[in-house]
Amino acid sequence: MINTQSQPRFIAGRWYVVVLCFIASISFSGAQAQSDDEQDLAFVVKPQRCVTLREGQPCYVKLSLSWNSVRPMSLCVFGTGEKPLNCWTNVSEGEFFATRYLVETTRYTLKDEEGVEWGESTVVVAWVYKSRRTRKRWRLF
Amino acid sequence: MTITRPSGKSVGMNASVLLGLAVALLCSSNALADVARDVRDGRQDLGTPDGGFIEFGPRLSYSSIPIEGADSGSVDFHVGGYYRFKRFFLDVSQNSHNRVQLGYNAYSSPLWSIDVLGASSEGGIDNRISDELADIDDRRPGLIMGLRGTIYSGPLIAQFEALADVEGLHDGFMMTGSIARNWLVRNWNAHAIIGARYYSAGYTDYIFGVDEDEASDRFPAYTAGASITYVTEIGMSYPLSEYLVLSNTLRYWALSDSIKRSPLLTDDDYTEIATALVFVF
Repeated sequence: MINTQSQPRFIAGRWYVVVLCFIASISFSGAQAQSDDEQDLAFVVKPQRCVTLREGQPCYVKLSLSWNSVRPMSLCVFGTGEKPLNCWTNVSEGEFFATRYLVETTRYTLKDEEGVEWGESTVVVAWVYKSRRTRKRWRLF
Repeated sequence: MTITRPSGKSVGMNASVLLGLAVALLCSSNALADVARDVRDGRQDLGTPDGGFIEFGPRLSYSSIPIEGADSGSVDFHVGGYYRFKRFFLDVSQNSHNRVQLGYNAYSSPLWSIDVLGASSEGGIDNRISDELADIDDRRPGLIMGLRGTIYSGPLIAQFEALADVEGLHDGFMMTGSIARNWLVRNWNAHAIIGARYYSAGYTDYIFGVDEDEASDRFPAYTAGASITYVTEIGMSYPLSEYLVLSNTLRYWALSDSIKRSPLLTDDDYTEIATALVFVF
């Protein structure tokens, strides 16, 4: 004999699972869409390394920053400061060239108008000879 | 900032540096290091963590040596480096006027430093330079010791040395004074050095004099007096990578009258131009 009192709870539970799956699929597709967007944008900074003779010396570098995406976007590229180095409006690719003296490893980021980061790349500053830190000390044996 | 070498060196790395410097000592024909190291590679004194680096690589040079029959062009293999333990240091640099130096950094501040130095003196004349000198006694490198003071002011470095023969080879002494400056042009490091080197009569005569027992028609007896040699150098170095440097130097020495009158010499000055690829580890 079928227990008719358990049937409504069973049906409610099954609908609960269906709703949960629906919500999960929406979230997943949203994340997948964002991930696809990120994969559809390439951001390249060259060179990726700058070498000085001595630690602490500013490193001269001719920077080349380029990006391209599958759809038009409005983006700005930032270095160490708050002001953007260059901006592009509603285009699907961009290039920016500059010469800089870098005093330390520098990160460059590509952001949209809302401040969302769409790409980043780092120029590493390296050196041949370590610098010396001096302290006043007198000692003779 | 990315650190390309660890601030604390491993024991294995320190042992490798020491061994490399020992090899450099054996390979160097002269011995002692000076302002050229500081102006090109940066200060090497207090604040430096224990450890060091080894340099080696091919060196191409052309020089006008004022000795008859001396080679003018040469390709050799440069070995050098720097090692520091506490305040003691060993410095080997073929680009320096003085090649190998063992010292103790007695005092160091941002403005100046004082080192106690011990080194093998410059041998100078021997028949490895020219077959013409086959009958001339080799001038043996001897042990000299003394003090070195260095003043640092931005890109300027002034250095003074006073070193005396402690081995009894010639009982002479030498004093040097140099001023050096460094410029950074993009990633090229340019430097210039001018200086003067004073050698006492005994020191100069040991290197450039001709004793009665070695005199000949070709090289008559000669007693040299005290001398002052003026030295100049310009150079440019460029880091090709964190481990490879392109180094170029041009040196000119104006010899003193006491040295020029030596029968061993055929000219009044010495010039050398050299280029080297230096691997640094």
